[in-house]
Amino acid sequence: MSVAQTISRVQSWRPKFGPIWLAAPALAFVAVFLLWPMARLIGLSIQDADTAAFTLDHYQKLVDTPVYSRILGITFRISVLTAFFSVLLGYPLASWLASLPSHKRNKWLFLVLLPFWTSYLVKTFAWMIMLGDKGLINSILTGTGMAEDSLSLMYNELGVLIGMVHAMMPLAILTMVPVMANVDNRLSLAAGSMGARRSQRFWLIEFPLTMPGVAAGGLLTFITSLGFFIVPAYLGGRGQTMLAQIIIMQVQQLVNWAFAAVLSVMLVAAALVAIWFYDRLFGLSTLTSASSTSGKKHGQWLRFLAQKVLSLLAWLSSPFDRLGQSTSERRPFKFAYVLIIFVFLLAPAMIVLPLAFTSDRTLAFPPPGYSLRWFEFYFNSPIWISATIRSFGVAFATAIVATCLGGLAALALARSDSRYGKAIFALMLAPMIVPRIVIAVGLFYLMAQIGLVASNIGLIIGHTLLAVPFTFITIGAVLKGYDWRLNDAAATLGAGRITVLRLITLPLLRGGIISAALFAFVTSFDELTIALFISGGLKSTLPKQMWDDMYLQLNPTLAAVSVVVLVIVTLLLIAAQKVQKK
Amino acid sequence: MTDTNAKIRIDGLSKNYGDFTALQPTHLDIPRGELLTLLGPSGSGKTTLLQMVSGLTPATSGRLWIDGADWTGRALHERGMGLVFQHYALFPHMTVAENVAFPLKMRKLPDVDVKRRVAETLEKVQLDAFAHRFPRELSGGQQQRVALARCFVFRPEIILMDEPLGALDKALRETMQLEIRRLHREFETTLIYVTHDQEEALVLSDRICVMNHARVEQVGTPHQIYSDPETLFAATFIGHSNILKGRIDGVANNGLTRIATGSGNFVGRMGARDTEAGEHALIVRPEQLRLGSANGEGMNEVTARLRDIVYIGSDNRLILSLPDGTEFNARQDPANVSGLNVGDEIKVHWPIEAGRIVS
Amino acid sequence: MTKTPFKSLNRRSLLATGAAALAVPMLGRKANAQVTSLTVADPGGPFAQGYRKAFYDPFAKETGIEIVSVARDAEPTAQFKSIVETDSYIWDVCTLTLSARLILEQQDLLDPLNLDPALTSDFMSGAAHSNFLGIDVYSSVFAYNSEAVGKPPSNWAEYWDVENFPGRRALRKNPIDTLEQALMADGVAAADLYPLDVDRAFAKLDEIKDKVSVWWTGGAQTSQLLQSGEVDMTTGWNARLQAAIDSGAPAQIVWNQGLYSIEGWGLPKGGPKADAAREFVAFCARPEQQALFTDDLSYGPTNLRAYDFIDPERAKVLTTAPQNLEGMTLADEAWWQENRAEMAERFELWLLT
Repeated sequence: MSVAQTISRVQSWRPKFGPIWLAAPALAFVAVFLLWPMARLIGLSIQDADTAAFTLDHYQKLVDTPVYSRILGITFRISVLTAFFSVLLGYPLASWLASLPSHKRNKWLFLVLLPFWTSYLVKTFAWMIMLGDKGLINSILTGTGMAEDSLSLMYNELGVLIGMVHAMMPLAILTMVPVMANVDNRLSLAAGSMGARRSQRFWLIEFPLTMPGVAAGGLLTFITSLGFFIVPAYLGGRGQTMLAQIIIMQVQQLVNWAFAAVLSVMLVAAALVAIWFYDRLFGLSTLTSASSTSGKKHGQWLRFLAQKVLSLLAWLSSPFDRLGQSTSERRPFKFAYVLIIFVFLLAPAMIVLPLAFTSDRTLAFPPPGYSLRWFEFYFNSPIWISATIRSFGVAFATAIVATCLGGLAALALARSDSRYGKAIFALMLAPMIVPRIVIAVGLFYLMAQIGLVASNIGLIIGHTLLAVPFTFITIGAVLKGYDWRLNDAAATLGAGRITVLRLITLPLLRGGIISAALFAFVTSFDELTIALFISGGLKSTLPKQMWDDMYLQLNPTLAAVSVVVLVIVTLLLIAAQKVQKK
Repeated sequence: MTDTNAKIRIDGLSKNYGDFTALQPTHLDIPRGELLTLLGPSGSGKTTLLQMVSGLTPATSGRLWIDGADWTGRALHERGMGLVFQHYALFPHMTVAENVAFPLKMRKLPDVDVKRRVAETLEKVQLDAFAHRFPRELSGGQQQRVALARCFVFRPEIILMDEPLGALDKALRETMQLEIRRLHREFETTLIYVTHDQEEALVLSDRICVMNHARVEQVGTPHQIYSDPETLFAATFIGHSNILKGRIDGVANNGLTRIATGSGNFVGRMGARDTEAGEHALIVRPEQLRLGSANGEGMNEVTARLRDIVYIGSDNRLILSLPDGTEFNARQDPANVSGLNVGDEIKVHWPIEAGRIVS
Repeated sequence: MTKTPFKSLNRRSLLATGAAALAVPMLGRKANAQVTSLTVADPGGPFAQGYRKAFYDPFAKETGIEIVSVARDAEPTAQFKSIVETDSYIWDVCTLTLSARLILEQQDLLDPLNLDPALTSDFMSGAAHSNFLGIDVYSSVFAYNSEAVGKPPSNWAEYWDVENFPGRRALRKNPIDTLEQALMADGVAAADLYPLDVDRAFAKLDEIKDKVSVWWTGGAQTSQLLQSGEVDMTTGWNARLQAAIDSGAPAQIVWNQGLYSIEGWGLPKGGPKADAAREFVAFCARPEQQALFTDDLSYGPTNLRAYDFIDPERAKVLTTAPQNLEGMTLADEAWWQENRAEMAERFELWLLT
């Protein structure tokens, strides 16, 4: 076959519509299972429950009843504080991780990923054991005489913040590390050569350059925090009720859909306001790109203000320049800090581990003796085993569906410079941005109508919705580095489109695709909020079963199950890392 | 080492990373106002040396003296040296003017002075129109000019440049070389310039320090190094060289050295720091070769086969094959070449003083 | 957006439609003339265990009808409605609380049980209805840590008295039970509780508001609170408190002024296996069967004659043992049915201010 023939054949294979259509399945999916339910929720919130007439009564109730504005305020306050402390405390660790060579960084990042993928239930449960009045920390403090009386670490705002910052800090770190790693550390050296001291180098050069990462971390932790209900329910006191708890109560106990919809709209509005601010300041596209230099240009006054503030900070922190300056290679303070944060991140898992092997019937720590009885109980319990099997099945299906949908959408964006690109991008990330609890309520409403409540398919749809942004981003990232000329090269050598896909594109993208699938798997395997609504009590997943157990009977089975989950998640994460390395 | 006029005295600086030696102990005096080039291939230790002078890397041993004072352990930000990097190291979040103002602000100059000097300097590098752009909105050459402006603006007495033009294309590089020469003269700074490009070194330098394998091979003016290479490496790294390997075969009556090679015996000048033992090589620059038989004394002559004639613009290059297979290059005016055909046996000769024997 | 769906799909019925579809594969069972199995929905967990031993297995042995048990939601009213309305009987029998019974009865979703009155002659009052057979009785009481509390409170007034009865306390973060407890603490007699004097209850709650260390949300939490020593006394459901005691916590339950409620079987209206289901419910009325579940569950049997078959030691921790039942009152589900949403809102506001 001549070259000319080959080329004409290649051209004749061009589809009649552009590659942008590859995004169609994912977009349709998001539209049907996210946008439509959202629209329905908004509809519900402005309709009379019985006559379906337009009414603002429900919003009127929100305004008239002081309790809801108060809870909205509390939710906002806790979310802001959580985002603030997650970023603040996570920043030094992230910067330390970013300074490591990449093979070492990945190993340490694993220790951040592990608590990130540990279920909120397990983490909360472990904090309950640690923070109590007679808990581990107080026993140590009073036992060593460091505190005379037990400190109130739990059942108050402090407890909620500890639990939430612990849950959110990995997210903040994981968002900040790529941005920080991309900052050219030679810039700081250059500034030093121009006479900048340590404090000036940090505040005038390093910090502004990592700002997009800081902001993205803050935004994601804030939005995720808005939808929390486990932590405030178990670690909070009477003043820490968050909106998600009230939404669950409205739906499950009071069956007041209209009002649940109003509260959901409030949550989404809060998230959108945060995103609007972020977009104005940094540009949305910085959310997923690791670059610190792209993004928005700002008005003069804003830059001026920022520079003044940073100069002030540099001046304020200049007295500390001497700390660790003499030993530039070893920084004992930083090292100690990194160690403390890692202990904080891993403490819950460390607590759960020995409890799973306790011989006692209680959750006393440390365990009075060790046995395998709770694992035995778990493996002999048909309820737990069926929940485990269902979780595996649902997660497996989710991984496949989400990888296909997200992968095709990423392919569409990579191969097309359509003007709809930005909109598609935003839509694909929407499931990450809308608080989970709202997605769950909206889906529940939809699925109840189409008969998918208490079905595996309903669970798979819900989990796929949550996992799609992850797969989309992961595969999109690998596609960025993919050399499309290879496809043309293969085509001129006589390979058809399918052959190119099978022999060239897929093998080269394999690592990204597999790790996307693994992340989707873990997302589903660990998911509670959707399961809480969709499982309908009949199709319990493992996290749902754990939630029920936490409500019905707190015993070491929960610790044993947690360890099983932890082991599975760990193995998957190791697999993901192995695959990414190749 | 008693030259107290040295602005910079490098007194045995060395750098080891574990077992790996990045730079052997090195001694170097750089007088005030000189533009010294560190020239060598990658891994030769030139950047390591520069970084130890700048304070970016601590030295394993040795001392650094500036104006007679020991600067070895001084902190980076206290050295007040100007640094220009290959990657420019422009702050992406600051405008051009802000970048240039940065070192002045670090020195707490009053705002009025900062503004004035930034404007002056930007004008000098012809970037005054771009003051409020961000680095990413500039071309590579413009970015490099910002880097230069940012360095010169605070009038450092010492400027260190690490392959600053490496990322630019050839034409732009040549313009910038002249620009650097001009700025250097105008500000009367002492400048150390790292490069692996011999042409650049020849254009820029007052003196060149040729480096290889973590040590200094030769220091001298461009002319000295070109005409009197002290080592085979220096000879081959700067300019084209024809190399004839052989053994020393005693001293000729005119005080020059005889060398026996596979293509015959020749005479040449012995390198400054060479012994007679071991393998040696005779170096002849291509432009020294003349066609035809030698008529008279003081010439080396050899018969060679013409393998190819390559047109290279102003000259033609003749590629010759010596009897033992060594390849020789000769540069000739195109007028001399007419009538020669590939495959011809021809004679070439060169003055004996033009040949240099190194080990 | 069309209007009609919201007319027909308000509130619970919404869920109904959803759950309906999942049941479609089960429809074939309706055709079975000879009943070989019944699907029974229970609260799951330890209940499934206790009921299997007391009712499911013995019933299968006696009649040959196998019992398949599934776990149901805390308030299965929505599922019930969907089962009946869509004619998809995924459950043949289901446990209901008295409050659920009330809702379902109002909507006419329950089949009559047609029980022989003789069967329920020894039942406690309020346990046997024409469409509901109470099986177990749970009670909202309080327990204290007998090691930490030197002088334990013996009623709600004393529980409220933090001066004379010191110790860290917990209350439920929910108005249900808590309002009644506040009123009893304020001296309202158990018989005069309903309708609740809400203002008075909140006024009484104000007194103790800042002295409550923990506001618990889930039953399991109360076991944990006692076990870990987090609090010295807590309110809770007797079985959860008993679980802590069984695990070795040095705690004591105070039954006095407890509020009890009853859980039992109900049949979805028009079920295809209604006769077999009725047979099963009647079987569960037997005292010797009821006695069996008390081995695993510390809930009281409704058939008081079951105590003939229960070890007196065990009887001490069961709700319906005469000595315990004596000081207790039946919670009024109808009142809560009416006022729940409003109370939930007011209680949240009260907590936050």
